[in-house]
Amino acid sequence: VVDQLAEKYPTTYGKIIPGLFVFSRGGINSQGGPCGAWLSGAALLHQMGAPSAMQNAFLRWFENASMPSNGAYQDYRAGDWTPPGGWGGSGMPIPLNNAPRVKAKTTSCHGGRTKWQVAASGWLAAYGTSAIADRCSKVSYDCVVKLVQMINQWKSGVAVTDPGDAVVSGCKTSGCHGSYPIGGVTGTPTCLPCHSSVAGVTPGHGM
Amino acid sequence: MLHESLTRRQFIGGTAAVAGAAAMPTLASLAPAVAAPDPALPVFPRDAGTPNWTPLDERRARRYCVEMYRDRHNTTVGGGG
Repeated sequence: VVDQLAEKYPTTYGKIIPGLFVFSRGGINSQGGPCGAWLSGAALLHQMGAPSAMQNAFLRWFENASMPSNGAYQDYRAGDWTPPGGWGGSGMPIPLNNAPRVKAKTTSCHGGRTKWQVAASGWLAAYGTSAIADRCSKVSYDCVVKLVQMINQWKSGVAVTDPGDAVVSGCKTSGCHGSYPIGGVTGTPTCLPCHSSVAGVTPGHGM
Repeated sequence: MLHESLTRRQFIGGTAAVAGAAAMPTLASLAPAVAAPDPALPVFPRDAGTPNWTPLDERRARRYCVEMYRDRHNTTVGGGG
């Protein structure tokens, strides 16, 4: 995306630094923090001057989207995509077809990936641990698709609103997390994974 | 770690000296100036519109993204992030 911006708008967006968020891979240098797939996209939106609502909408989408989509496999099947080194063997791993889809309900690499691994245990048993990289590369794919769509909509004049989360909003205004703990809670992330009773990102965790 | 190189007294003393020097006009003027923001760094106005926007190519972006993730390109310009 940054490359395309540099090509199309060299004197403005072309000044955005490529690779500035490479460190976010694997949740900040593989530490499992914020997933780099959305974090780097959000950083780009911020650098471009995108409305806060748009950045929030991107984050909310990541939390609630069922990923990975099967888009990468369908792209491969289309037959008009030849990556450097070709497909298979020592080249580009062929995307798996119909990998399990899971809503991360978190913005963290650790939480989202672990939740997917738990849900996809049968898939992993069949395809091996390389299926994890397959999943994460597809999540990046999905995030770029969403990012490009949002940028194009924004720049073509389509208003982007923050959809919010009704459950979270209720918790913030019900007198619960609006005032407890003292000062109330910050932000509006999903209730997971802190509250495993809601649905349970990782059973046994949370309150 | 603080205790590995400086005692607490040395640290506080040093901090006070720096603060004191900053408060003295003559010394402060000799201190190196704080670098101004690099004008080359991207700073775009909030909510900036772009007339005659040329849409980004979604297909190209998504494929390149996966290739970066799978290290088919130089990972210094991409990756999961």
